[in-house]
Amino acid sequence: MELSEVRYSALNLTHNCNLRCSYCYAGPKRQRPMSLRTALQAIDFLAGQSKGRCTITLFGGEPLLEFGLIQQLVEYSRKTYDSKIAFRMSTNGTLITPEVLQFFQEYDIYFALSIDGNQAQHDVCRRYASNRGSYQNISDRLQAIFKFNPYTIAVSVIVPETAHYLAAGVKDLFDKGFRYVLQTLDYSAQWKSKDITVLKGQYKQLADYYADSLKAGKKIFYSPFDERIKTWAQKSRGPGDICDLANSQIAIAPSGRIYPCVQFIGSDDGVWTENSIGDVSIGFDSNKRKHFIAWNYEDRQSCVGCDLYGRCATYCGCVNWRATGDLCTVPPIICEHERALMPIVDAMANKLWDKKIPLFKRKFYEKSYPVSSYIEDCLVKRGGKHA
Amino acid sequence: MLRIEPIKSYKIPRYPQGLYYERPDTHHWKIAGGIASVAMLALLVSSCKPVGVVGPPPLPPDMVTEREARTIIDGVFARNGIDLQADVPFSFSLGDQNPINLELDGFNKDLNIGYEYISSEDQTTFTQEVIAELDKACESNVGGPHIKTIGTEYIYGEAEDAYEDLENTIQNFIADLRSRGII
Repeated sequence: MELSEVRYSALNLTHNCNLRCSYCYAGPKRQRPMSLRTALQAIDFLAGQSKGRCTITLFGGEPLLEFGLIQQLVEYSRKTYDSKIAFRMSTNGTLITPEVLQFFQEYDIYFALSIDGNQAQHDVCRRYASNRGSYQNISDRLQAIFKFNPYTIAVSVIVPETAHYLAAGVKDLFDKGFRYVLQTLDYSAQWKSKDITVLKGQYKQLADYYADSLKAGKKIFYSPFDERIKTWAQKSRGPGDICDLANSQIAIAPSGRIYPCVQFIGSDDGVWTENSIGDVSIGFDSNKRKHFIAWNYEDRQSCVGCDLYGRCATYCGCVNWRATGDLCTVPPIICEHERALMPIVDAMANKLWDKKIPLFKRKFYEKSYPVSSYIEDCLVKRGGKHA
Repeated sequence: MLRIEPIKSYKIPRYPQGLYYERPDTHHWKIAGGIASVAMLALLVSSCKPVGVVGPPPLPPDMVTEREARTIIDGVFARNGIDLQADVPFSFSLGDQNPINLELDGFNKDLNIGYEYISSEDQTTFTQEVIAELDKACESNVGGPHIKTIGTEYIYGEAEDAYEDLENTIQNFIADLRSRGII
């Protein structure tokens, strides 16, 4: 088996978090941050794993609880490896300050913000240890965040209790100024048939909104729609395409242990360490790494022969593992969800194609769209300034 | 009860499959189409704040940073036996106007050749007129100077592809100078 270079790694800086989100898959919250020594070892290790650029996502717990550590490791990385290593971050946003943004600006660190939707939806799951909702705290920071990076991504998770908020929540995110919303279900939650019915209704509402937005030339990215259109219009998915765990993407725990993905770290002790595929101080355990890769690349037997195979989310081994304990055993909720969602998405895409909506064509059929869109944004911005 | 149920007769979508390209005739593209030269385009882009790729497309493209570019370009020159000095002050006349003071990313005074990777910081000095004039001087078979100006290199997929593009650009530049007997 030929191993890939490591291109993406999550660096889990701490098990601790100031929130207690109900769907969090990280282990118990405790004060056990990564040491500076381990962090620098991790940087050295990752720099040696790829000839090209490696992107490190600062992760947790809440990584900004360790902002001092972030500053030290980023400065070390820049000084030692220059732009060979790029940093990104996944954050709950509650600890963002002008000082943080200034540092991130200086070092080109962009982050994805965990925000589920509108306040009613968000505060169902994303609460402080005191049980207070965290929405207001994030909302207060949005203006500064968009000034820092207008392309900041919203990451949203839907649980059965918030399914009925889905459409209003997503619209609210776009109204607030987000252009990119990545959304997924909590596949490990207890979903029921009636929840799927609710989701269907919500997606139908959103399909109208999405279509109207594209017709009006509004550039929005909504992952449940965009990703599924892409798997038809551009390229269907194969093993490793959306989830290349243990191979080109890995995760490093605060202890320095290497895991196939952040979802395998858990409490990073006891049985969890059986998932470890190495340690930054000694390198990979090749056999364990290959075992996970080969396992993830196996066919999803329950899906063979399905017309939607290669278009849906069943290739994410981490999600399968978390819900079923097996990388290749797909939880029924994924299948139900895809069967509900795909026809809605395709029907909407058919209409947009039939009506020759320029933005739809550019977005899904023009290879240079990301760069042409960006240039266009710059031109509009420049035009606006001089107007 | 939720279940896995493979679909055997899914209605095929009508929107096409595979890479289809049709340049839409929108006013945005008319604006872009008006930007005739690559140099002009590079200047416009480099004048924008770079934003890195932070998720799936469509996102602003990542780009080869000035530091990366300079390392790659210096390496190509060095492999061709041309040593360059970094950050060399360079005075350049634009027609009858007073000389313009520039700073080149790399320059060999003996050979009178060098390069400039135009990042956002450089766009105030490396204007369209300056680039055009440098390009014109490059075409000269005598004298020179022969300064290669390179617009921001974008990363569409693999970063290595962008690095390779950059290497090829410089290698072709050197090969051209050699073929014309300049070096």
